[in-house]
Amino acid sequence: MKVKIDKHKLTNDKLLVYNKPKKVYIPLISGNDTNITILVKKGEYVYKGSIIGKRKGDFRIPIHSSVSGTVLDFEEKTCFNGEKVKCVVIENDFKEKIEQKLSVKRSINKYTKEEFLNLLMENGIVGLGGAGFPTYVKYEPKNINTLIVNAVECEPYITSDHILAKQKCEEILEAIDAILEINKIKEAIIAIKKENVELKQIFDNYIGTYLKIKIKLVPNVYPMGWERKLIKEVTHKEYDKYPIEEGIVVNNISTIYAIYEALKYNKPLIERIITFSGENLQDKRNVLVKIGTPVSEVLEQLKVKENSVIVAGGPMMGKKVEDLVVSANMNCILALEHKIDIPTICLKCGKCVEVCPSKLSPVLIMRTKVKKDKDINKLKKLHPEKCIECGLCSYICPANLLVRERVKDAKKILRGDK
Amino acid sequence: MGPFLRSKYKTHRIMINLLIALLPLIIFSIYKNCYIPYSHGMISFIEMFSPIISIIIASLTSFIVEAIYALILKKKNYIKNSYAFFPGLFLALILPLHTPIYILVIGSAIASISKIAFGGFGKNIFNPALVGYLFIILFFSSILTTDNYFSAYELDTISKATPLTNASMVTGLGSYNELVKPYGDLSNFFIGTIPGSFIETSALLCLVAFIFLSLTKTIKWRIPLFYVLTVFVITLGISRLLGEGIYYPFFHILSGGLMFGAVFMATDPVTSCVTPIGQTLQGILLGLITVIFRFTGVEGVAFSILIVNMFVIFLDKIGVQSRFNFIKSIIWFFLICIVIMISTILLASTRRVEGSSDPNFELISKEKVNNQTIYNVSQKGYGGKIKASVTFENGKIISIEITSHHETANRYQLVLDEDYINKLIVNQNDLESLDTVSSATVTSNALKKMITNVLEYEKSN
Repeated sequence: MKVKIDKHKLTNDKLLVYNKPKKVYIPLISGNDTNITILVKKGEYVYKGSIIGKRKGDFRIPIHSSVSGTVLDFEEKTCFNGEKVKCVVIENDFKEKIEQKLSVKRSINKYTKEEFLNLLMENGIVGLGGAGFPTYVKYEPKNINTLIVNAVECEPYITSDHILAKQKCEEILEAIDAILEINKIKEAIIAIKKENVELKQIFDNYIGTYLKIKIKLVPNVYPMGWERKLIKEVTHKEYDKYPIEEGIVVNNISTIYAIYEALKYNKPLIERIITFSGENLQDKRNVLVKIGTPVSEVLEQLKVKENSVIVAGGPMMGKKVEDLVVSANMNCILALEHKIDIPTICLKCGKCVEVCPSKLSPVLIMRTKVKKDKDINKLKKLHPEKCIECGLCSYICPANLLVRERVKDAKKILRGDK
Repeated sequence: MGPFLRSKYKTHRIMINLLIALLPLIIFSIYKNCYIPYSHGMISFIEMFSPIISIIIASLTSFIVEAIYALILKKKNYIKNSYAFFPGLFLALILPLHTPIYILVIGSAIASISKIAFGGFGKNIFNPALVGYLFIILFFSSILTTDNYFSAYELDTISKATPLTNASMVTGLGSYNELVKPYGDLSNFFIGTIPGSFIETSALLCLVAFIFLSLTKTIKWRIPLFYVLTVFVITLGISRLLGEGIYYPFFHILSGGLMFGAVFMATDPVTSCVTPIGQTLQGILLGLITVIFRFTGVEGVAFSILIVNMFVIFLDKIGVQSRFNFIKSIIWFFLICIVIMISTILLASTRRVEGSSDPNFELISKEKVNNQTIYNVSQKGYGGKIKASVTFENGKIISIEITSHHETANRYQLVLDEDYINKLIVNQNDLESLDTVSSATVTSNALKKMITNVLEYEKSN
């Protein structure tokens, strides 16, 4: 069963630039990893783009300051994943001073693969779609044959990739071409939603000279932006764990543009576009914000109603949060009315089974009560670990049950078992 | 907790859709069972509304039983979301027209109790309405005689034939004359102008309901589709093997409440499979069991649904597996196909019935009461059909009763004067030597032939 979710319109389709936060709270998090080495001290002066922390372990991704100013303190703030994360508080001096290494400018396809990977790593480029996976790691393998550019917004309401693609179409195509040349990838496919005619026309206007880049239209269903589903739709290929098994790399538009800026200007990842929407927001629009900006400041400027429920992420996978700061992998903020759907009784209608993109049977997972060891085996057979938490089961449930949360519980039980 | 978008399609929408789908069926049934008899002056104006009263009483009974349950367990919101009146409502719809109210009340209560016994709405394994139905069939079968299935008008116009309810669909195979003819032709089955339980007769309206409910994503459409398809395929196979006409599979899917059971009862969300493959298998299994039941003389649709209810968990297990490994589930399909083929052949071979050789003879129905077998037959006489019911006991005719005839009065009187009917009983072993009545040769000969044919029929079984 395909799920169509009502179209959602912004009140203003122009991009708002919000680049004057008094203080930024740079979250010390990379992906979901908070194991970060802090490289600054209280009272230290940092430039815009200075490295203030570095991830420990295998992926040594740096974290940059998004403003120039003084490090005031370390504070806990809520991050995209809904958890409290230690943040570096930097007071903005509004001078936008940069370290001299920035602005190298050269022809962006003249890098070797090694230089390319280094550049992505040093500039802290991560997937901007939500997972925040380090991008350079995706390009490390040698057997890449296809680059899929994900221009399918992962959730309804979100248009941040759309507005970026509209404004920076040439740059994005240039970056894709450079990535193909540097990594010796045969082709790139830009996946666009069928109904997004505007975006297709924009790309069509510029794509003529890029012979290796193709456009593929995909159906407008949720969760089309999910990597596995997108790859299956575009290439008809399925894989076990990572798309690289089939020689495929997937990047979304925002990430491609971040790569462009890294290649062209040696610019680290310090800002991004976020969609601000929801019925309690008077001015619904896309906003370019610095990483570490307190979300409440932006919301205020967009005239948010009091007592709104603030959601980090899209309406499907987002989480209700308070005291939120912008992080790299945040693509949407919603201000919603406070409403409660009272859960009733599951009637086994089977709708959650039909909509599940991971082919799970959420109703059966939900109904498996784990009391004995035997029950754990029962649960294993239902494979709750395959859940991608897209939330479709909860969305479709006619009884308003929190189906996804129950599947997540089952996941946790299995993890505890291992 | 997210998601912060939710589909507008809620449980009460499902239930309202069900009621909308039922409405045309109810209206048609009232027209067929109540308005027509009323328009012929057979029942009073108030009697016309008796089915509605039955439906209301049954629904209320179910509701009250669950309300008491909710009160005792102090489940405050339970009754709001348990759709407590549905078991009684469906029970009233699938019972015969003239079911006494007290039976209805008991049945509805049993239906709701069977639901509560498993923990209430959403937890019951068996379809509650059908549990109530089964209870009534088991304990009140003597009260629910065949007459209950006929509307007042049908009682008068259709000679007492086996009503084609799911309760008495006992003779799996018969000739066209036996199965279809007493009710006109198959179009009557399709439209629903045949006797039966209150709501189940109109296959056409069931089909409309099926389309509506499938398009609005209210029911699990795979179950009724594969159910009816399976019954059709098996009975088609049987009819081919036995050289019966194409009417035969159609007769099977259009009669015995199959359509109504498939669309409304088998798809009860709580007691059916949740996985698509599970639903498909459930439909196929239902079809298989229904046909087997019909051929072994057990009640058909309702029993099948209740029995398959027990296998739902197992079928869903296959359904879950098949979502991750489709090849595995294919094996099940092949297995089921083989079972269907084998059962078709077996069923066909067990029930070979020879058609009547005399074109003037017609077997209308066959009924078994205790150790007596009653044949309702007709034979073409001088002025038209002579209808009679012939009673057998231990293979011997013990009575012949002429139910209607159009013979010339004075000639028929001659037959009576000769006590010819008794002579037929006395000489049943040697009818050849029995002389016909002079001056009433055609009539007496017709009677003699009729008895010869009935005897032949009895012997062949």
